[in-house]
Amino acid sequence: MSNTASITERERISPPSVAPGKGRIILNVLGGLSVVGKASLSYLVLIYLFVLVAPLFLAHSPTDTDPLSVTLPASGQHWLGTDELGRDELARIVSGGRITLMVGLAAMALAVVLGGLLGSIAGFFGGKTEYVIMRLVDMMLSIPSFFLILIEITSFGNSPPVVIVAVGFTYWPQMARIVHAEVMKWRDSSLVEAETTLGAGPWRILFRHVVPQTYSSIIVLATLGIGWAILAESGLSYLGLGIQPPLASWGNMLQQSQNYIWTAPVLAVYPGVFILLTVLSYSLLGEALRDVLDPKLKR
Amino acid sequence: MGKKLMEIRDLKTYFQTKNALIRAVDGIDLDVEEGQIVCIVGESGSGKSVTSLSIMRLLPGPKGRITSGEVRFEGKDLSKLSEKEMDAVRGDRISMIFQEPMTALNPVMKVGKQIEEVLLRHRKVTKSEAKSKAIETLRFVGVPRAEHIVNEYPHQLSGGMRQRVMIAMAMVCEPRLLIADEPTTALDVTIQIQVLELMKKMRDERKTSIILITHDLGVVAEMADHVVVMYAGQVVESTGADAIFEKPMHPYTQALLASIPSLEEDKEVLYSIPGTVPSAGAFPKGCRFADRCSSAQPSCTEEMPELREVLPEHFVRCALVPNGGAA
Repeated sequence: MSNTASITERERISPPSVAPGKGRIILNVLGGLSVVGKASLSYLVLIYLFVLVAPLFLAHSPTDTDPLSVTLPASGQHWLGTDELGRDELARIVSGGRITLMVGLAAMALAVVLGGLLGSIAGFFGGKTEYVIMRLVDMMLSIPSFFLILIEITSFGNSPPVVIVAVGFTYWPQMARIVHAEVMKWRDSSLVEAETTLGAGPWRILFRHVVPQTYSSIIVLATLGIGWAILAESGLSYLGLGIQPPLASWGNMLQQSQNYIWTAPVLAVYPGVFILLTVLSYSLLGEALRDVLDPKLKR
Repeated sequence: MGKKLMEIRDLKTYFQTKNALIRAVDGIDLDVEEGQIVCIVGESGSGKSVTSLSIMRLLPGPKGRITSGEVRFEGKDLSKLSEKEMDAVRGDRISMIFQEPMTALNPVMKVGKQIEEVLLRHRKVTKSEAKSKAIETLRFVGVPRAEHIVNEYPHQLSGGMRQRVMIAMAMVCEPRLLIADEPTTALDVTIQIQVLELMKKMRDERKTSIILITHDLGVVAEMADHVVVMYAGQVVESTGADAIFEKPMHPYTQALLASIPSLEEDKEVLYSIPGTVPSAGAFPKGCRFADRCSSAQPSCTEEMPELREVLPEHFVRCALVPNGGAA
């Protein structure tokens, strides 16, 4: 064995390197993002910080009305002016953003958990389980999602939790389908076989060894999905079905502002621009992440 | 004669397909003694791998199953254990190493973690104990700078190193039996010999019994204590390693040995056995090797010969070999 050790010493070409920890890997991935990706990520980080921290410093409450100062233009007092009820527009944007962004995140978290769980179980165990789950997915996907959400919201009310569940529930089949396909790739792999010979049970193999292989796909799809969820929430609120006044959301601000489109057009511009930028950033970030995380897709 | 670790009796593993019943393993007997290296040799399709998968109970789904026979290991019949009991045996008492070290490791988990996991699964140890045991095992399998390697991912290692990590995972719990299914086939020759040396070291230092499945007779000569030659799902010859090379008795074994290229003789054309292994769905009635056998008699196609002990510890399945040997 003494000779083997000397050979293996030479076998390694790379100089002594310590493998990166989890934090380091995340930094590597983020550092590998395209300029557009980095810009999108920066915007998103800023907007989340903004809606979370800004309320601590704002002079105005988003719900205080002032009949004497409606639809004021921007001023030192009201940085973005006031809306049709005299509420501070900046405070409205912040608190509306809070709801819109959180609904997007929470809905996607739900979709990731539900879709990831069902998709991975279907992909790993196959057979009848797979058949039942995937046909359910097909069924869900064959219903136009917006109508599904409409039905759910009209039946269960439109409090924020219901909106979250409704939106998340619509997205899980897409997540399940991707995870299912990814897990299926690994179902008959030698990794699974080897872990079985080492005494790991099927659930352990699935969640400890197979599901982590799908994280990159899940991250990309979830990032794109948050954008979609924000748009869905905004769309619902715009139709008056989502988040209800006096709670602000970017969608319902847009709806209320349309009555004043000729007198105070900026009231439509502010929430509109934020929705646009946020959804666009999520889409671009998703694409950029995919480029980094999937080495086969190198440009 | 060492103590018997595993006894396989009349093991039959059949695969049911739409059109046929595939008798992949058709009644084999196999004994493994403690600290013994048993080589199973045979062509592709002779049932070597299915035998190992049957021992480990890794047959694919409802199609393939152990139809009859028993696999007695440490007093238990493995073929009758529940899936949970089997999980406790796998990786702890019996381990397996594979041909493809590249794909058998988890690409997104540090190799140290992967080794520790096996230990944590089977033993009541703390994380730090598991970690030092992982490093110790890596050292045992000849991984240099083991305390650094535990923090690396599989893609950072060379093929030979990955195979060593695989072996470390298989032996971290110090199993009594290691099944190695063509462990060297995917490796280049310099690493092949290292892996073989390592298996010998396991046998010598830890008294691990090894079932080595291979079609490389050079590996057999290097490693085996006992050789089992399989053909068409049956054992055709079973004896000590020396006897196989010095006086092979079954015509198939003789033909296998004859087809090894030799440095001494200058042959124009290498010998090859005519024909192919009969399909496992349609075995002939008599001797399964008869239609490829150069010394076949008409009677050979009539009746299946039994596996007979023609010399002490030398079993042959051929009607033409008289008791006492010398075909």
